Amino acid sequence: MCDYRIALAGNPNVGKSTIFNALTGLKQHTGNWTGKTVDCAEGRFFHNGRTVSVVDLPGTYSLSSFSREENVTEKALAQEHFDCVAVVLDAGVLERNLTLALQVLSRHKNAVICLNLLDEAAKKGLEIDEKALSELLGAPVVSCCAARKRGLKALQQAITDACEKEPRPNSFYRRFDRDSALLRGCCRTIAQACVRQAFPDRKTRRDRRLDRLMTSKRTGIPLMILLCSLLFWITAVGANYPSQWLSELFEALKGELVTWSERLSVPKWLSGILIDGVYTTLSWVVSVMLPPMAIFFPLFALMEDAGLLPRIAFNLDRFFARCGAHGKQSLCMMMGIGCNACGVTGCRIIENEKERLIAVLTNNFMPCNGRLPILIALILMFFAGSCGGLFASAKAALILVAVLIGCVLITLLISKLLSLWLKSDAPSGFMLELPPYRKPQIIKTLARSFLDRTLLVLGRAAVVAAPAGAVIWLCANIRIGDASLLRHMTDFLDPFGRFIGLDGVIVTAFLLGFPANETVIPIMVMAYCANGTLTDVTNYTQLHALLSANGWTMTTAVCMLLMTVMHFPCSTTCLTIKKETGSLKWTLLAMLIPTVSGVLLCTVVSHLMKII
Amino acid sequence: MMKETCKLSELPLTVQATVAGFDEKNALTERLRQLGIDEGETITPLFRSPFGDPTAYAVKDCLIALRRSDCSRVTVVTSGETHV
Repeated sequence: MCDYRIALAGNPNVGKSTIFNALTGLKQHTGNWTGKTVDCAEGRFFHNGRTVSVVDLPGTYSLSSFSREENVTEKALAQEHFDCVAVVLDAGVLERNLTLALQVLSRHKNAVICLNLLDEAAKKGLEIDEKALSELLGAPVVSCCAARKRGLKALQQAITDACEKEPRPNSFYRRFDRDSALLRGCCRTIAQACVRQAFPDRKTRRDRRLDRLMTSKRTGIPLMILLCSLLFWITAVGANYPSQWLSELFEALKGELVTWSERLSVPKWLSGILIDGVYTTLSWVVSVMLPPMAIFFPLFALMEDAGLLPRIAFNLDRFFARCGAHGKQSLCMMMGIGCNACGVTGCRIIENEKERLIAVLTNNFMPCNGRLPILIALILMFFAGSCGGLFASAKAALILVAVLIGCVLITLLISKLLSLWLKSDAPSGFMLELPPYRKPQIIKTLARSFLDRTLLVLGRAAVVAAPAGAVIWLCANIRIGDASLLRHMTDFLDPFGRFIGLDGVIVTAFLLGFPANETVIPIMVMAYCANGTLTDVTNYTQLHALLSANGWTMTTAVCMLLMTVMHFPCSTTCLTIKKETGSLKWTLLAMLIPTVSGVLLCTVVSHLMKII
Repeated sequence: MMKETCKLSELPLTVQATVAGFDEKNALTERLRQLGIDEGETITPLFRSPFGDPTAYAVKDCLIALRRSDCSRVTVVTSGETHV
């Protein structure tokens, strides 16, 4: 049990989650943009023999809220009991941050002010008089620098002290119920009394120069494309080696396993399920899916921490505006590349119901964690050429960027259609904060993100891919009449598959891959191999040979690529959509839209390619 | 430069202005206020997106991107200063 329960509140992007992680030792995701945290997280810390439970609330500008994620904060503060509320302030923009601080002080007797990002304020040449601030606010002020773990002990001390003390109304208690002009006046007066421009502001000037580079007509878009290409190129080149090592390792281990199971005379069906089903699927998922993910996402996290994501949203907003969508949708889409379920949850940063729904329904067009490696594999095998080396990998990266641009265009098109169809409730505003550029803590970010992804992929491999492997093996080996269950299924679906440029096996693989797209390729391989296992297919060359032997042409590869991007979301994403929209209708539509458009596009493309 | 009244959306880049008022009172203008775009506050458009819209404005040491359609509801008075 905990002795006390406290809340962390503050404006968006002031480092609440970083403080939360530093206090509790947990690993909430953080990022340099407004709206990264959309849900409450809870953790605890121990200080002087006391256990304190900490709730990390989503960022909010004020307690009279506007967007859904801010509503979470307002409700939590109003309805739940907290022994103390710690308000985190960005020292560099004190005046604006004070609005929320004063609102919290007017509602809660026990509050602690935590002045974060002092290092950034110092770079802006600002000096802050903490003592004066504490006196004016009538609450303890602790300065800290959470990213460098400075001032955390003092913060823990201040929080426990505040919890232990008898609550005593501060000077602002119950003062700002309705009067917002008074509130603004107070913020201004306090900020003027406490903040002093001690040195000229070099940091902001450097940021503006960088902004001109990132967003100008001439350099903005090319730089964005260059950055993305570089990201994918490093992923494609870097993933190759560990993939190879892992698959060799798994192959060697499999040999051992087979020998031992024979020596121990394990029944054939059991070794079949465990070795040919579970182990082989697992090893495929780990060796092929893990390396690209463990390279791509740490690099992506660096971009995120530097503050580049909102700039990309800024550059692309015009297109979203034209399509009746919200510019922040591009942020949700970027999260969707990580995981569509996360992307769908992230759509809460969009205030307007209609625009949020559009973002939720179209998020699946961004290829996620489980599908990106399928695209990479297809591109490496069929489109990048067999010459190998740097040239092929650069070409693969460019093709992947082109595919992703295609995904964005499809998202925009479907968004446009949806916005014409859906009724709008109110004109919504678009306000996107462009945060200061922050130098990411390279080693820490890379290490943490690498570890997170590795654990995530391994976890999913164990929870989803392993049972799936067993089920698929059973399907491939249980015989009904003259053929296996899997065979019956693929034969049944074959005419339809062929009609849309694929075949029965691919369609079956997508259907059975509903719990996790990671298993799509292993299912295909198992179905193609006559003996019902994916014995010797552990790298792209062997896979390419197997696919070609089963009648794959360029058309099949193109259609497979399209179908990978455009089919129903995985089961987890569907559940998330159900939770976020609260309606079965929208969930079904979220499955139907990509599937129908994928089937249509594949049919058209395959027939066109046959004519040519 | 003389003092002139115009819409925020018409303000040329790098020209500093003071917010004079809003055309209407709704959720949108309330949100703008929360972000610091409020009567008496200075605001400066700094740069535009490659495709001309939105524009990034400097307000209270922060950078906030707004679309033209939203800015046309805000009236500002130029203060005769430019901001670099």
